[in-house]
Amino acid sequence: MFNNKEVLEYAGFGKMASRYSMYWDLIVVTAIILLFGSVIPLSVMLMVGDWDFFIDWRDRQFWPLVFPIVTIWYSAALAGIFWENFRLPIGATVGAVLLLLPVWLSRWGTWHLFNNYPMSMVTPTQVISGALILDGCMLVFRHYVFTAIVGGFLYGFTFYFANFGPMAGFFQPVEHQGAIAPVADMVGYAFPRSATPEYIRIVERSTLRTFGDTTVFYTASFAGYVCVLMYLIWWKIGNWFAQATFFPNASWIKSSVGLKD
Amino acid sequence: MTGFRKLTVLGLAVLAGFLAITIDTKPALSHGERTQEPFFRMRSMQWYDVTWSKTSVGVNEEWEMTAKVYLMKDWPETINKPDLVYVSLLAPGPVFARTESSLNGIPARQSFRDLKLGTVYDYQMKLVGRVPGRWHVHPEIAVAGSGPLVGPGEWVEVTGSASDFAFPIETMTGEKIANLETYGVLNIGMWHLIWLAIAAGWLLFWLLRPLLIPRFLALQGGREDLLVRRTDVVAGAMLVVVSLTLIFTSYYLGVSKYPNRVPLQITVNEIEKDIEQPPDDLDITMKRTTYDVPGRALRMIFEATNTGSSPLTLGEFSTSSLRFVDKKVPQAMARVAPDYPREWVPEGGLQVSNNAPLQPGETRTYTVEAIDVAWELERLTSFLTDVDARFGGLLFFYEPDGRRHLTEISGPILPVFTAGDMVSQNETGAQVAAVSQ
Ligand SMILES: [Cu+2]
Repeated sequence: MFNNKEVLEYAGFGKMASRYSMYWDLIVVTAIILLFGSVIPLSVMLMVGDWDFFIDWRDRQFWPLVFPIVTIWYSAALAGIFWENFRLPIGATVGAVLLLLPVWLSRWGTWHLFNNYPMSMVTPTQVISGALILDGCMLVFRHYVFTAIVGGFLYGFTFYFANFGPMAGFFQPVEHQGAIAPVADMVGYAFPRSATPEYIRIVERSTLRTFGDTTVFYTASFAGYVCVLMYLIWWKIGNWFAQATFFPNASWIKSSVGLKD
Repeated sequence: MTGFRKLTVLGLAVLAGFLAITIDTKPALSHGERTQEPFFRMRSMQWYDVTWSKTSVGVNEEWEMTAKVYLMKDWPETINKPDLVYVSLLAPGPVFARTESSLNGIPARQSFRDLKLGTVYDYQMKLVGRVPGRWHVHPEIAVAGSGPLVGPGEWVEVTGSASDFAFPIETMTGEKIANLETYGVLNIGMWHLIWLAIAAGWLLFWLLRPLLIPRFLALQGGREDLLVRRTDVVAGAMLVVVSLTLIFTSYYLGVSKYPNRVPLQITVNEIEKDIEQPPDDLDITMKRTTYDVPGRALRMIFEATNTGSSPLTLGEFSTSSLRFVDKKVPQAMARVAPDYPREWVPEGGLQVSNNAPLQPGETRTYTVEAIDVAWELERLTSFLTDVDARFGGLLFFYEPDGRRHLTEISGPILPVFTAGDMVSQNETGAQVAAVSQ
């Protein structure tokens, strides 16, 4: 299945060197898991926040817009680094997995076990489906601009459809005190959050609504377009940060620590 | 070895200390309700007639919290007017589940707009026990731009087992949801597992190869063909197709299973009708209000005129949920339920200079004292350092038959430093209290 031998031979690695090279790979993989496994969930928490935390915030406008736009940053940056330097089409998937796993852990641990939030209120959202498309496109097109245009668009566009299906039951109508409410609203109501009053929800507040029932297609398309742009920008940012650059020390600094020029 | 032993002992000590801190934590007595400035709590919403139908409930057992809340006309400038509010409760997390709530009888699942100042509203909330424990529960109305405004709290114990909890509902399409707490989690989790499994397969497909250095070298040497082969490209194309298919399959499965769906509801309701407002046959002019810092005493001097037709006796001064009651007035004492939490009814009560009934048409200057350590405990003395040094509250006057009149009072408040030479103006109540001991 793999041509590992060929690659190692070309690199001029013997048995020993191959082994140490593998150890190095393991160290880097561990570092990436620890670093990005905390950075990505943290920034999604800050940038997406309540739209991701609570089921009764997942509207048809902001949730499918904000979530893919924010998460594609990391997927693009990682994809850029892995592809440009190693021709590994896995960056986007790595980012998406390192978002979903830690978030499940924190929802179940911090939110559910320690703070009594029911899991139905705080189940996470996934972007793995879109990330797989991005990485697949990378292989097919072998160029980040085409990947951005096709993969980036699909990443943003499919976000809503990939997540809404499994959640559809939360939008069944319920009658409560004489008014209609989706099950999601009932979850938010039944398990009160003292410091999160209902009015602070930002749900479908814009003029996109005037397109009627098709809101979601417009939002999804718009998310797709923004994701194209984001992918291009963050691909560059990722690679910019992955450079090895040397800045020579000033001679007075060298001499102050006893080094000769 | 000794070094190692020392380290072990040190480590164990640190661990024991840490455990002692975590285990010996008593349940927090307050949950932020005292952090708001006094003017905020004394001049926004005055809660009274608060009841907790039970103080011990089983898991799934229903109980009810009711209250009246008066919105002060002297609402502070520094906080937003109650133009958008939400009827809520203050408790340590969702330890109770809420089944129903209303303001003036109008369902309060959603927010309300434009509450009126100088008006009494009727608060009601039905809850069921969910997480066993002893919890401090307050009624609360959150005001957009201002924050939560809470009433008095009471300890409500939940007994039983958390695993027995269930919140069943039935949808309008007839589907019975056995427990809202866990609804849908399995389905979402299952789809996440499917995606994780595909992602794991894809990652392994690449991670099982030599990764960084050999690939980097091959790439530098222009041997990209070694790194991305034809089969890899085909795998990539397949991944795109499989992912797209699965995405729209999951979407289709969801929406075809639940064809009748409604979006999140964000209606803001209006209170169309006020409840019957309590009478107010009093005309009050504030003269001077002082707070004696070391003595923990609020002294008010005001002129009251009875504009009604019944004699009226001052029975209670209520502010920020504290109830200073004149114990010599039976009509006022009758309003303090025997099981009302004592922390909100200061022992010192209300001392009224001359509390003979105020006859119709009569005008009298009252000197009223509310002396209690509660001023400090409830942190209501930091007006000394606030931008808005005004106080406020409600006066309850009673007719002989117990009919209650509700009157808002407010005005500037002046600190009195009896131990003046020792206390600077910037010191907080706590420090002042220490000085006076
Ligand atoms: Cu409390």
